Amino acid sequence: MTNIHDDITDEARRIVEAGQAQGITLRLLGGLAVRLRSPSATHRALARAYPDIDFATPARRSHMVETLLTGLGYEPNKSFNLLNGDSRLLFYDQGHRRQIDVFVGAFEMCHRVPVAERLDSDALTIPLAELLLTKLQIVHMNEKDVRDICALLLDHPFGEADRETINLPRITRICAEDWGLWKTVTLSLHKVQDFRDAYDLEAAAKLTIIERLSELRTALEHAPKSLKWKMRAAIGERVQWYDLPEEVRRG
Amino acid sequence: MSAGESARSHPEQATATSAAESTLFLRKATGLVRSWSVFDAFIYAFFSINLVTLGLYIISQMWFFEGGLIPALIISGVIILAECVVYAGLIAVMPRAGGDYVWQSRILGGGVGFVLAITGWWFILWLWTPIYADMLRQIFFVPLLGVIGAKDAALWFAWDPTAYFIVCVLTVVFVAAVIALGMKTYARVQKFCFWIGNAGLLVVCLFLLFGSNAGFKAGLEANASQMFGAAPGVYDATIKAGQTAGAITPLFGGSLVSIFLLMPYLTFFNLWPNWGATLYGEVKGADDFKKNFWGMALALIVTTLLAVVFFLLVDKTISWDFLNNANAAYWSYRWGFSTDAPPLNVWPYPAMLAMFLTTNPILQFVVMLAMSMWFFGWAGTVFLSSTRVIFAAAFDRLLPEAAAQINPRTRTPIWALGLMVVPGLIVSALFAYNVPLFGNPFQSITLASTLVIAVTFLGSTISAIILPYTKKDLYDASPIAKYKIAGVPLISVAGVIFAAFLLFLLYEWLLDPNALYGIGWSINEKGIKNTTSIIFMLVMYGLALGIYLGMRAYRKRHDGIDLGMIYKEIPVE
Repeated sequence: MTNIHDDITDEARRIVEAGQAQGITLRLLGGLAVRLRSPSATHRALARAYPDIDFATPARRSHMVETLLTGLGYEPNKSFNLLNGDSRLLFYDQGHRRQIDVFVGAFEMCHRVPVAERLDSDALTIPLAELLLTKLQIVHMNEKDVRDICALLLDHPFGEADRETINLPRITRICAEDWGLWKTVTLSLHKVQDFRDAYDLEAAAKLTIIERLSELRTALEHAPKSLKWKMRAAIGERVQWYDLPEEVRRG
Repeated sequence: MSAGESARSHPEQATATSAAESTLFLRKATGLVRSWSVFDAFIYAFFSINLVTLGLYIISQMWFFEGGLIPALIISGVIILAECVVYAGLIAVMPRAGGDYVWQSRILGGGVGFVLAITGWWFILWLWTPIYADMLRQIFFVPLLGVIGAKDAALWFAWDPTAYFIVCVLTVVFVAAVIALGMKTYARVQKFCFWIGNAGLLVVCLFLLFGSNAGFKAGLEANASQMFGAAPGVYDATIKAGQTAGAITPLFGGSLVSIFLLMPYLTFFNLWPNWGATLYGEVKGADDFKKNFWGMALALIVTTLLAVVFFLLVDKTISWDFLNNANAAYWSYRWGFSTDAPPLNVWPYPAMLAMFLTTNPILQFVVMLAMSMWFFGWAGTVFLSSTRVIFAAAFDRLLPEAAAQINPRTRTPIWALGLMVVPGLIVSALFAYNVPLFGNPFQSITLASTLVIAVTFLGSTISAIILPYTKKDLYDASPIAKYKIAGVPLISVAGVIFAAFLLFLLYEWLLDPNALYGIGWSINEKGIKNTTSIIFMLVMYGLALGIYLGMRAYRKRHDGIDLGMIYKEIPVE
């Protein structure tokens, strides 16, 4: 018998708080983090299911995460964690058929996003800027990702700081260091713009999304780029600029 | 570049570039970017058939053959391509950490799989520890100390068994440290060593290309005397000592049979393009047969070509005749066939000999240091692949769970490494001091290091041959099901070719009809009946069988687990 909550948002909060009590920093990312930060994620046009809970944690205390989550009733994927534990940890809640993904030190999927650097910015999730980037870095974006991005952009203007604004300088700084990430983010912005009409949102909401997409695109375009960015840009699309994550089969 | 241009130049990205073309993917929720790229796997394979360490080391011991070295390199390379097909296929069907152990235990059965994989990927690596260390001292300590003028220290490392044992300890410390860094950092280390080592080799090749034999003779006289205190006239004295020792191996020529007889030695060097097989659970796109194949095959092809070019350049400037005689003089003394110390009183490391073409110590030092990266980028292979087999066996509960645990802070697989390091150091002591255990000097069993792994590979090869027939569903659902030759699965065809080659090698090693290898029970009256080698191998197989039977009984009695049932399932990733 475990104390795992049926409600996934309650359960996510329980884990974050249990971690905090033991000195372990865990912050939500992924769809559930969007849901907790953006009321629009529950709008009928943007609502979606949340089968997994994703966390980020700093590398230095990641070894305590397995003890924490096992104690909270989760079953670790031992072989996966053994081989990949320096960057990822996987846990299962068999009763609710849920999976917990823990990104250790950084978020690495199609691109690397340094999510663990500012985990103290918010008590529950990674900062909005990084949260948006984890969605925009996806090369093979699915519908859930587009909905999440729309929800974030609808509820949060760009600004110079975190909390309830999306820290625009942070996004442009990260992208100005990494041409591959910049490229994928730029393409993702086009993709979201293409799909915003597919959702049954009010005209004003769509306009807000378009304006913010445009604001981000302009900022990315004009931000000063690093030498590394420029050198990689010179090679361009001739060399693949992203990774494609592989599915993890549970057996 | 406009969005439209982007879409045209990269179709995969077309989805993102225009409303008309946009589509969304059915990507599942969880993905993983695996630690190693295909290029990382290629470098691992390239280093596993390491020309500068394994290649030069074993070829230096092959001075008494009638077959040509270069045809043997090429023909064995072609045959070993079949091994690449076999292993690339097995990996594509079951890309799991543990490789041979997982395949054999699921296809041939738990007992056979455990015994063959544990001996070939774990126990025998204890013997490889001092062999790796021997190469470290010969290509790193001896030449570098010689170059900086520390002649006595260089000779101490070259000949003293205590110095040799110290190098064994340093080797395992380095290997444990580099493995503890994790797969991503390991990949970065080997990539750095790959480029620096190859740059060093390029310089060595340029010296050989533009040098002359007269220049080499003069350089040898000057440098060998200055660095190691060799007596004047070292070139001619070396030729004479080599001829006395019976140096005959040609670079070219010989009958096909005599060429094949080099291969039981040569495979010490080139049988391992599949050495990353146990790691493929951590390589991107491991279920892509072609990528797996080319990762291994290119390593084999590039290394074989590199070896051919290198020895041709050696022949041009140093002369193969001199090198072969120097090898004979060195090893016949070290193995006790001769009591006359070699005139060149260190291992005739060809890269060092090439650098004798200059007397600039800074250049010599820099190039020798760069060449040592061939060791440091490769050294981790002695234990890294093995840890994955230990993990896989522990997950199957054939070993205590602790064997698959890591130190939570350092992420070091302490127990798995301990199971490699501690026995490895015991065997190193026996090897370094050349203890005459069970009648033969311990260093006489060097080639057993290859024999035991070849037996393991034979087990996996048989698994590959029967896979399409005994695990039909698994095979049919795999990406290799479409590859057939005349209706017969490619993996089975390649398996038969490679199995025949392995059986030939095992026959030569074990029965040694031409009295050439000295690690088996020779049926030739002039050959060696190496009791040390036979007992060493039997002890390992007995130990593995004992662990299997003991753990199986223990799990049944104490945990109520029938291990036979575990082997019916493919392990999770």
